Amino acid sequence: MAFIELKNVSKRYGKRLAVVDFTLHIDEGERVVLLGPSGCGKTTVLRLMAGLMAPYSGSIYLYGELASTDGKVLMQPESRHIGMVFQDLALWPHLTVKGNLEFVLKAKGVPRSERERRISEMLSLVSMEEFAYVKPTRLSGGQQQRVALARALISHPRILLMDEPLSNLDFELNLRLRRQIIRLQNRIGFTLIYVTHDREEAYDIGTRIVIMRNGRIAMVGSADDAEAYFSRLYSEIDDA
Amino acid sequence: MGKRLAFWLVVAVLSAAGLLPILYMLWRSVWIDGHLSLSYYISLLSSDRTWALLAHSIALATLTTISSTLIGIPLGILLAKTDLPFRKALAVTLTLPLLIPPYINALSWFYILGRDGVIAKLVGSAVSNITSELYFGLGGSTFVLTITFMPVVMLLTMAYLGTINPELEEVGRLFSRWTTVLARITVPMILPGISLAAMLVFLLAMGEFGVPSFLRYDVFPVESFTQFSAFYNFGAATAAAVPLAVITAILISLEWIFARERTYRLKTASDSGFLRIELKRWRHPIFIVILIFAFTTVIFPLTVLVTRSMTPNAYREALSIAHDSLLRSIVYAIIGATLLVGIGFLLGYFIHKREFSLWRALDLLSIFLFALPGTVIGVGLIGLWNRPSTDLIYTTPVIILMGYLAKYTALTSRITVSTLVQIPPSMEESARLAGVSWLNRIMQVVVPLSKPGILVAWIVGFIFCLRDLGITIMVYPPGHDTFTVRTFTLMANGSPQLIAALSVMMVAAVIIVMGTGWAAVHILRRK
Amino acid sequence: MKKWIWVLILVVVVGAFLLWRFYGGRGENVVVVYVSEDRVFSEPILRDFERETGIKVKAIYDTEEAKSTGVMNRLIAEKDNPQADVYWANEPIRAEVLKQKGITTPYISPNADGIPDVFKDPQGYWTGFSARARVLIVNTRVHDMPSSIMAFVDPQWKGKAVIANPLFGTTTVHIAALFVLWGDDSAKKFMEAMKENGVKTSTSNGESADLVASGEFDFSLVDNDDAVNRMRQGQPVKMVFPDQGENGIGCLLLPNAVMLIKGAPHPSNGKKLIDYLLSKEAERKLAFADCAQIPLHPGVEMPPELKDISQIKTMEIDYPAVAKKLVEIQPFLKEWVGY
Repeated sequence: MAFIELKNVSKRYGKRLAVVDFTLHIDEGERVVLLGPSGCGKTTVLRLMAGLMAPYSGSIYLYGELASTDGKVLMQPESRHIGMVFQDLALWPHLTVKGNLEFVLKAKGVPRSERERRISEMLSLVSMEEFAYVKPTRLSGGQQQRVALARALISHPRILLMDEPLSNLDFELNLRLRRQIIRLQNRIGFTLIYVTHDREEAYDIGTRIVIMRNGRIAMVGSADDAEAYFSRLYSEIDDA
Repeated sequence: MGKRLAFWLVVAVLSAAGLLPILYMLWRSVWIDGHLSLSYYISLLSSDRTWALLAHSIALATLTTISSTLIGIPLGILLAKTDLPFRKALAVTLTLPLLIPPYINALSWFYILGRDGVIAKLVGSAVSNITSELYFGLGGSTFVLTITFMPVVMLLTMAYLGTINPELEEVGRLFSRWTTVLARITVPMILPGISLAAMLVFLLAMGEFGVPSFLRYDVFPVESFTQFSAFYNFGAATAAAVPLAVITAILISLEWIFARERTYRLKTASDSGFLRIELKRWRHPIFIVILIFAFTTVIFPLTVLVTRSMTPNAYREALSIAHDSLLRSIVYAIIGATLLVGIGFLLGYFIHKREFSLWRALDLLSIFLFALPGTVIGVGLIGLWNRPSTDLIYTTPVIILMGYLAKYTALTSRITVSTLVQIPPSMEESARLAGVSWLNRIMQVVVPLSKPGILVAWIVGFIFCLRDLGITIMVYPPGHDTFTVRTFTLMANGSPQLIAALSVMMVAAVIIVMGTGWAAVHILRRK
Repeated sequence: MKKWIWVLILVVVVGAFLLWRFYGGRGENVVVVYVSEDRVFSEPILRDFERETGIKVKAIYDTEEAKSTGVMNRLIAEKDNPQADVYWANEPIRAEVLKQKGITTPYISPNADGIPDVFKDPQGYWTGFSARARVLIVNTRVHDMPSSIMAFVDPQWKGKAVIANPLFGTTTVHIAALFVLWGDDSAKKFMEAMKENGVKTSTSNGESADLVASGEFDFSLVDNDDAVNRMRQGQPVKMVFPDQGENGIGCLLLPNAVMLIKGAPHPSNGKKLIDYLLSKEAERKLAFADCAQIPLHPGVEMPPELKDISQIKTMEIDYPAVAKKLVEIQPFLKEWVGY
């Protein structure tokens, strides 16, 4: 039984095909990176996995159960045990850092004392304890990033989806946060699906790399495989 | 409350308040003496007068639209995008005529241009005879309606300018002057907003009855009203309203096809920055020109109105005659605005999210109802709801509130849409992934984020409820009239001082609400 | 979120209760009246009724001058479930329309005694009271006073007379009455002759009166209140009741009309209000008010500008016929005005 399975998934926006015949198995505990240029359909794949949209055709299985198929979302996003960090982070600006985390726990019906414990635990995990009562707009980019990560993980999801979360940060900060993400994943053990257009970031994070082009899978393999793919691609371009 | 339930609530409210009454009216227009007949339509369309009036209506609406856009777009750009002094104060001042019942505008200009008016006193009756002659007719109607509806263009221009991604203009600024950027980049980008504004002005001008009838310019709605008031024939009156409805429907569809699909990358809440044009040496001359414009078109007529009302007893009399109706007006408008925000927000949300395939139909329906003459909706409401079993609706102000909902939901839903566009969808999606229920997402994420927009919608709803005449006069329960109705009914043979005093009170109420609301928005924004 | 739902339900229930409490309950001691007479004149009378009888008056007002679509439409639209008890019309034509549509029901008030029969429906569907008279208003500098509406076609006054737009208001009724009285051909000839004699049109009776007062025209045909008000203000105008001679057609009087609505929710209070409006006292008040309406009971006290009904030769008119004619002559009038 595959942990996550996408079978011949396609998605179209009007006439435009965003994802074409996408098939992929992901095992529990993997760190899979979707790598590709902007507009290649990476984000759409994430949103399909999260159940925020339905596939046009094909099926998505989560934990062995059919989650979405042929234009229908069968398993609602909230019951998929998925956490997500959006590209724009989507921190609720009218709530404090703590409020952002607490809102999620309230929705899950976690009792008050348990909430307090988990929030302080999570904030210390991302080293943001002293910012609990600050509104997100007052934080720096890296700090916002960590809050978004904390919010996505606070409900103990089995899968974490990240959509180019580090793309707007400078190199050093990017490097440091990557390390933190890997460390957290090792410690908690969630399955990570990570979307980026940055090769170096991909090789660093991914235990497996999926290269996407024009809505299709161009290659699946290790960082070395990916590197080989790109050098082949470049030589083709040079020849032409 | 689930999303589906909320959606059907919107459907139910718009049906009960707008769609069913209209269908009832249509039915009455083709079901004559127990059988189907198109005779009302045939006699309407075969009359020369119908076509002449239709031509009048289109002429008035076209002229008003042209002059409103020619004045409104430059004003909108100047007030939104430049470093002109006192931009906000000017914008608020110029918006005032829109907030006042149009017949009060017509009245105050009559005090200026009429045979007995200010011009007659200042320059002599030779000139005032000419101005009066010009005022009564197409010219005067266009003039008053332009001043009344120009703010629609100005405000929408300003609002859409605020949503432009500044980078798009910055790129243009790298190699051309501001005037070129405005003409080639900025204005084309806000074209959807401008065409929406032009359409609204056209429809409002065409549906307006009070001003052209005050100024003796026969327009098409008059035909419908004559059918009502002279011949008491509802079927024929509805038939007479149908050409207006058809024109409305055509315009809305055109706007849909040509403007709605062109969407540009708009600024979202996370983008910051707004490019402001420096006027430099033009700053003061332009400011003075706008100041003079605001003075002559807004301040001067209001001053005349106030002067007319300044007699020792006018206000005491006005208050003693109308205090109860003023109180009622305010209460109805508060409840009406709140309901309008509730239903309008939900409708706006469904339009924005394009959820449930009916959203498009609801959007069209609400705009259509907005453009329809209020009396048509009013008679439909009576026909549908005046039954012994629904007395609790018809014999109470509930019927007025239904009228408000039918007519003005389009305003609040549109404001909601323009607010929601600026909230990234991920805000709600992230809450959804976290398992937050739909109602909680709305109440605790979307609503807090759209607070300023909701407040604007509330104020707009309040003002339109407060100034409504057409629907209210048709359906108000006996003994429970509103302030506008009372002023209007007192206008016949009431003393000019009293009428002026009542009008001033109306304007004052609008200004007070505007001021409070403006301050509230300000405080919210700062937070 | 359960809380929200409960709050909402509570608000709806309380709201419904308040509505029922304040607006419902037809059994109360109230009377519902729809009014087409100008509010400035009618409201004080209704307030007096309220004070004297203790019956609360709930009114809906309308104005003919503003040509709103108001109360007549409501009365017709509400036919199957009437809300009104009484309709106070400002002229009897509307009363005829309502009678024909089966909206009203007969009631002969004891106070209708003494009002001449010509101002009453024979079956009691409506009763007239306090009338406007259609009079000539003449500038005082004119020595040879016109005494008949024939002055409009008299070459002596070529280009010196003005009349309100005949498409609107009482002027329309007046012309329809002439059509009934004289027959279509003669009436049309009269209208054409007016045109040839250079009669100008103004927007309203009020404007006509002003134009005469300012001396721009010698005379006009207006409602008597237009003339009386200007006389009270000391303007140089006089009022002439036209066609009073032996063979004259008489002066056109347009009374108010009051009627009981069929299926009225409070019929006995409605009858009391009708009795009140038809009383000499109500007529006296309307005579002294700015509307200066002529009482139809003989011997009612009145201001000096007015004449007792017994002193006026009135035009004999058949109101139902005028009501019908009014609709018929619309195309002719539109053409005449030049639309």
